[in-house]
Order: sequence, then structure tokens, then C-alpha cells
Amino acid sequence: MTTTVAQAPAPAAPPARARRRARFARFSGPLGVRIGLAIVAAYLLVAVLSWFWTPYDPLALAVGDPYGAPSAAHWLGTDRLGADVLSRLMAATRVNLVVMLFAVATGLAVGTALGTLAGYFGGVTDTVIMRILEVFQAFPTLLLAMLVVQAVGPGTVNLILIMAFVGMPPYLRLVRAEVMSRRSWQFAEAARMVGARPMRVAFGHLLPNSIGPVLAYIAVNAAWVSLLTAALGFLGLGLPPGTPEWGSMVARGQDAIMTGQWWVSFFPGLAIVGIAGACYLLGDGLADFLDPRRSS
Amino acid sequence: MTALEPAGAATALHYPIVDIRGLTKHFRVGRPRRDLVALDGVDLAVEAGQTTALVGESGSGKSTLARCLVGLLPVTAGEVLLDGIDLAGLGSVALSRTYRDIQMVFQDPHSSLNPRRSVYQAVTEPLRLHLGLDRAAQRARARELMSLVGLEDQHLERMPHELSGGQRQRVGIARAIAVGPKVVVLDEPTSSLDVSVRGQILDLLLGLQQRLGMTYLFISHDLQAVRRVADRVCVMYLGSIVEDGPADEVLDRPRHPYTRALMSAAPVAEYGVRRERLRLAGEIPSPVDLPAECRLAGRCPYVRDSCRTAVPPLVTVEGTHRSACPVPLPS
Repeated sequence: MTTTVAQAPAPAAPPARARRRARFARFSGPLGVRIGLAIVAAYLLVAVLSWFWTPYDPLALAVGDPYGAPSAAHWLGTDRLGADVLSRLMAATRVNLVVMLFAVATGLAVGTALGTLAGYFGGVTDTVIMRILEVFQAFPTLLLAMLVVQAVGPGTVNLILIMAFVGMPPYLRLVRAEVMSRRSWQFAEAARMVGARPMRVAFGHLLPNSIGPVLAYIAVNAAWVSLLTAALGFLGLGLPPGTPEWGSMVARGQDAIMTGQWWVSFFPGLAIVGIAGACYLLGDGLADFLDPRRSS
Repeated sequence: MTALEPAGAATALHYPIVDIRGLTKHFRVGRPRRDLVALDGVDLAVEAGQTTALVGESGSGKSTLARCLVGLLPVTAGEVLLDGIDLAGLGSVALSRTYRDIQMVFQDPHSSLNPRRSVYQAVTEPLRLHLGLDRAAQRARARELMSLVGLEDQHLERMPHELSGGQRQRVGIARAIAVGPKVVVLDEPTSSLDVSVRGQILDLLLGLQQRLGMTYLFISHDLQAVRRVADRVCVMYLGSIVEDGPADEVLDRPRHPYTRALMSAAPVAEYGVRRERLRLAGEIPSPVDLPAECRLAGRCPYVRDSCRTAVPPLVTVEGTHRSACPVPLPS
């Protein structure tokens, strides 16, 4: 504009970058989100650390007395087999976080892709995808996970795939609904006319405009995957016996709770609660961050 | 005339660049399934280099016609010939190729721009996908387009929500003309704009037509706008064309009762002018299970028994002026 309207001094940063910075400030703002971020960061730190160093070998048995109480030598005590609880807990953090991250990423990718296809193309594509989905959703989730784990056998990759599989339906449904509601928006038709093929319209134009609620759901899904992984571990399913994992650690200490050796189950239990709580705190912040109606 | 103009001789001949023949579109609605007749055997020729306006009230099938014309909706029957090629029979790849020749400006500039893409991305996407231009050529063409539609280079970096309604519609126009189409379908391009901006957009469209020699199919229910831009006017009612002819004839000497009612309903911008209102009884009927009679028979004050036995065809009144009413009306 050539007119010299009185204006505030020209903004230093380009609009896009300033916008992103403002959004991040809002995101990292509320106390709950900061706590959530701090907890998740701590877990990641422990997981990375456990790769290089743990006080004792987490797989070694009888590094101390059975059911040794927390002490200077064993900060979180030892379990029934004399293994060091802290070492196992650190290794378990790594195992559980790996399962959580990869399961969430896989479920998100597959669910989003299928949901976009179902929502954009509709018709037969939609019917086939949704009917198959409904068959699997008809089973209770934990039961389904247990069945599949038993069928394919234990292992980290198998566990990740199963968690992704049972966690995928909400992603698919969310994306499908969002894409469907925007399918007939004019910018989707306009995209066809500027030469975009249907796949490009669906994934290049509609998906980016439909992804908000899905991203907010990631945190919920992550918490849920952690809990389910631990639940399976508690039942002795999913990973080979003896693998350090929060749920199986809780199970190893369950007989001792009544007799006073609380530390064997307590610390892995606390770890489960901590990660689930942190995810929920983050999820709330993400929902605020991504929903334009909830920000000013 | 500019170099972008197609062969001069062809323009002079006024050949129909778009020829719609017997276009029929049914939607399956309700349970049990019934056919909603949105378009009922429409014949329409759009002359090259001219502006043909399509008018009619909401639900008359104007937008359905536009969407069928550009292949965004599959047609039930009929042909849509663009330069002699039937678009209705094309697969998605061939159809996509025809979008170099026919483009569309959408009604609502708020929802026709992807909210997550900048103006630059919006106007260069067709250049990349249709023409395969390199980055430098895209950037140059984007600047050229901005000046063509009366925006500045700085607007290229804006996001849609940072623009006003009129500016967004200019971006929509820039995107449509980016690949140099022969035909542009304007689907109520001014109806969602502020009244003060409508005139500017109409002027812009007229100017672009003169400079680039494009053919317009202008869909509107704004008769003021139609009077300003149209060479020919087609009046639609319930999925059929009821009157069709040169703009001044149709607008000033309408022959069909429906056109008369439509004209007499338009406000006049002069104080104290008394108008004869031709009022139609009742509402537009449901387009499901239409009887084989004149579509207006239930509402028309001039209705005769012969109107109820068959759908009256379009007959020539004089020259190229056609009307689908055989009853001689008082003038």
C-alpha cells in the first residue's frame, strides 16, 4: 500500500514465523502442559541413559539379596530374584517408550491413510474399510490384543504392531469424519480443477485440513498404549519372559505387597501412572493448541 | 485484441465453444429411492468470446449445470461438448487435461481457498500441475497474475484468512485464469461479496475478458449484475431452460411468464417508480416425480388446459430468442 496510515512498527519476523512462535508460546504456556512436557522429557532421558548405563545389569539375577529393601547399594531395592529394581525400571522405560512411540506412529499413519481414503472416496471403498473395522471393533480391545498376542507370539515388533492395530480405529474414524465433512468444500473441487488427481486432493488438500483433532488424540492414544502394554505385560503376554517391562515388573512383585515388600511393584506402577498422566496433561494442551475456537 | 486470443476468424463466426445437448442429471434421494430431477434435458450453446448468463432462483439447477459442465458431477445423460470433445465421457486423467481449457470461479471465496495454503501456493499449483512450469516461471507468472487481478506482489505471501472477501475472490479468479483457459464458469462470483465490492469484481471480470478473449458462463441470480455483463441470458426453472436469447431482449421484453415474474421481483433503484408485479402462486414444486406438464402450470396466472398435457418445448420467438411458453402473453 502506498498510503501512509499510522501503523505499529513493522513486525520484525515474517508473519508465518511469528505465528508459529506465538502458537508455541501458547502451547508451552499452561502449567499442566509444562508439567506434562517435563515428565515426558524425564522419561526420554532415562530411556536414553539406560542404553548406556544402568547401576546393574537389568537382566542379571541375584545381584543382591532377594527382596532387599531400598538402600544405598540398591536405591529402589531388589525383587524376588534379587535383581536390581532401579536397573530394571530404567531398561523397562526404554522398552515401554519404544513400544509406545512406534505403536502410536504406526497406528497414526495407517489409521490416517485408511480414514482419508474412506472419507474421500466413500462408496464401496468406505463400506469395505468400515465393515472390516467394525468386525475387529466388535471384540473388547484387551481381549482382542490378548488373542492376537497369543496367535503371533511374543516379541517387540509383534507387540508394536498389535498395539498399533488395536489403537488404529479411532484415528481412522476421526480422519474419515473430518475428511468427509470437507470433501464437498469448494477448495476440494477447486483443487480438482487446478489439476490435482484425487489422491492429491485427498492427501494434499483435505488431510492437512482434517488432522487437528487427530493430533490432539495422539496423547490419549499414547497413554492408552502404555496402559495396555503394561496390562499385557502384567498378564505375562507380549514380550519374552524376563524382559524388563513395567507391567511384568508389577506382576513380579504382586505376591510381596501383602508381606511388606512394597517397592518391587510400587516403582514400576508409579512409572505407568506417571507416563499416562503426562500424556493426558499434554493432550489437553494439544487440544487447546490445535483448536482455533479454543484460542483467541 | 491480444496475442492470447484464439484464431480471429473463429471468434468472428461466433461458434459455440461449449455445446450442451440433452444434459440430464438425476440424484437418487430418500428411501425408497426416488429420482430428483435436477437437470431435465438441457440444451445450451455458449458462444465463443461472449458472456452467457444463467439465471434462475435457488434450486433451479444452475450450480448443478455448472458442476456437470466441468465434470465435478457425473451426468445421468446427455453430452457436454467443449470444442467438440464430450467431457461427460472422459476419465479423470483426460478430464484433468481439459481443465487447461475450462476453469471455474467458485461462489464462496471463503471456502474455495485452502485455508492452509498461501496465495502463492494457490495460484502456482495449476501452473505446476497443468503446465509443468519451473520455479522461476511460476514466480514470474504469479506476479503477472497478481497485477492482472488487481492485487500486489506482497499479497502472494498472505494466507487466505489475512485477505478480505473481495481480495480472496480476486485470488480465486487469478487461480482460474492462471493456465489461460478458453472458458471460465463463474458460479455466482459476486453473491457472497459485500455490495460495494461486487461492482469492482464485475469490472475486473469484464476487463479480463477483453484482454484475454475468454468465454464466460456467468451464473447468477443478481439481475443487475447480469444486465451489466451478459451478451446472452438463459433463464432456468426446475432444471429446464424456459427462455433463452440476447440479453437485452430477454431482460427488457421477457416472453415467458416465469421470466416476467423474475424480472418484476427485482428491486428498482429509483424512488417512486411503481412496478407491475407478476406474482406466481405458491412455491417452487418438489423436483421429485415431476408430472409431464409445464413446470410452471401450478403457479402460472396464464395457465391453460393445453399446458397440462405435455412439457412445452423451447420455440423460437424471433431471431435467436426462444421461449418455452406457447401462450401469447399480454405485453
